[in-house]
Amino acid sequence: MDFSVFVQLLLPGLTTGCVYALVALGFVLCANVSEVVNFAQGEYVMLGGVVAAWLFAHQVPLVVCILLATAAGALLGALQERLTLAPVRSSPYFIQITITLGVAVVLRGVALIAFGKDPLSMPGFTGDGVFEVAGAVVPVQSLWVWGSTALLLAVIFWFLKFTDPGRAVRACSINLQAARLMGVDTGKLTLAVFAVAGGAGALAGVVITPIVLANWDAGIAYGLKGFIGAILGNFRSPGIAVLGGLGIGILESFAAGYLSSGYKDAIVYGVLLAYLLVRGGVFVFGRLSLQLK
Amino acid sequence: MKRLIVWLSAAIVAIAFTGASAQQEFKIGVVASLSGGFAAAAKDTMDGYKAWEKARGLPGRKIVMEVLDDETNPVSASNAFRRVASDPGVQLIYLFIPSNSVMAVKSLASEFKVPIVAGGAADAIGVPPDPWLFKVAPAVRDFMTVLSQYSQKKGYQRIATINSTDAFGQAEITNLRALAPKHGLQIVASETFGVEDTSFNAQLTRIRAAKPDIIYNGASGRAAILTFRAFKQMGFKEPLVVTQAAVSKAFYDAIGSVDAADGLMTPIQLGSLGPAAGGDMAKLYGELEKALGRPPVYFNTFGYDVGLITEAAVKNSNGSRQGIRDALEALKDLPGVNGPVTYSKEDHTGQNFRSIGMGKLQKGRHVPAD
Repeated sequence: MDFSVFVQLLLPGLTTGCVYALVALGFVLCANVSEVVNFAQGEYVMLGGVVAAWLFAHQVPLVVCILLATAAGALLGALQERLTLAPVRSSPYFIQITITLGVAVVLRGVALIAFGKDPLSMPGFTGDGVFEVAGAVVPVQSLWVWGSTALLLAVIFWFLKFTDPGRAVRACSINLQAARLMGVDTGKLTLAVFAVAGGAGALAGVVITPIVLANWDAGIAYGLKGFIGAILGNFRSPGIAVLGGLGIGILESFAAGYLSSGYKDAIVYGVLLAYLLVRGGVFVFGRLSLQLK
Repeated sequence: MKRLIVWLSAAIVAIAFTGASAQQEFKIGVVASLSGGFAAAAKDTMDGYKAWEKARGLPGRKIVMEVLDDETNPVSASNAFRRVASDPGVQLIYLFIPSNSVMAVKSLASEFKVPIVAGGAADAIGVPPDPWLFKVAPAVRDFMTVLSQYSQKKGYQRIATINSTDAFGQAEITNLRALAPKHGLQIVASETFGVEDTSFNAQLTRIRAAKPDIIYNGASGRAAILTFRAFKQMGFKEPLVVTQAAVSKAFYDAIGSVDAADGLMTPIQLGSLGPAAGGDMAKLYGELEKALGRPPVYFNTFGYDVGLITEAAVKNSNGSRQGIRDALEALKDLPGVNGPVTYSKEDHTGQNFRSIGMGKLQKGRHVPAD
């Protein structure tokens, strides 16, 4: 296989990886401020997609679809935190994590009932055309996926690095207890971070929908791959988690293209397994082990 | 005395009416996927069956149905089957559920000794046969036979495939591997995907590199839409054949229009070709279309064939469970909308490759491929 095949595998892998990266970032941000792995994270990608596609099918202008779907993700993220996690903040972690799994199941069920089982589609933001790079054919919508991911990541990293709430998030990731003692309102911060994570996931779902369609059961796959990215980032480093997500998308594509499509998932999960074994600390999320209180 | 005569007369009339209604009733238990992923197909099947009831039915008998939903779940299907099969009044059972659920029920079929007419395309539903379970639609091997025959007829020698990793997809490629050498075909690429996959780029890149003469895509649902779009985007020019389950309203909606699928080929049951199928099939198709009041979709034709099989089995039996079973097994070349139905002691598949033709989409309708 020649260079054009390499590019043909690389670029679509990068596109899928962008979604995994945003999901991984959501996992890391939520885990840092709440100490909880939010397994509903992938469902926000699904929701963003189905809400936007459904609105578009009902003649809502595209820009409004994008904004409303992203806002819906942010709102649901905030509601998830307020209604299902805040009331059980002092409960053991495994209970809180199990609740996030329950939220994921509920979101899938609601999406199935509200939007139906058939995949929903929407056109590319600037048409459904393709462009060629070094002999590889790529949908134009991929540019929107790459661009919006880059923009969103830039805004989030700027927020984390240069704003007071961002510094508070980083402080929480270093020592949650100390951050609280220093006056950080972790309740409000957690609410805001869940909203941002929900919105980012939903936006990822919106921009990827013209390429992969939106389906009520699509969130599981995004959630699992994003979860691997977050593990690679040790549930602490947003940057490594993002790179992990991007890497998984590309690895998946290369594995299917150069080895066999049948081994695609086995290789991705094999890499995760190898990483965890080499690292020697299974399920260490930042400074905290997943322990039963 | 007068009062006694009145009472006796009333009793005789009551008994006569009870007897008449018992004689006229024919009770069918139905396990159908009224919800879940197979719901649309099950509804179309029921519509086709109801069209048969309207057009023909069972003369002199009133059909009573007990319908249970399996929620497109094999465990629920088994439980629902147990419930309807336990009803001593049920004389025949229909399974309007997907292959994996039918396979779950097959393991219980002989336990209750009720004749069953089932949907599903998996080969193992009909062969080896369960004495009480009768499949209708052709098996996967029959569809792959038609694909191989068509490729040979057109002089194609290199075929590439992309199949799902589930049992259906693997049955397709297993059958094709067995058939290909007999038809002078070489499988130059055999790719797989998970039904929840959203990117097929890598698989299609490998297929393109293999330089096939013809491509078979076994995807259905969302995967069918995404692979079709990826084939178009990557500029494939080779003839593309898809499974008949790929083409649906959702498929047309997602690819933009019915015209966008023009030229796409699929091995399809002859009923879907409508009048172009000719002979008994065209006549029965006309009956179905008239009863439905619109052109039928594939699962309507399947439902109508279930009705025709029921009609023949009841007509050739005493109406008992054993009698209906024996009559089903004795059916030979019964005309159906999709083609002739034949059962034997060794094979309960029903229709075979004779009921399939290579179709081509043209403005949303199937026409015979060149």
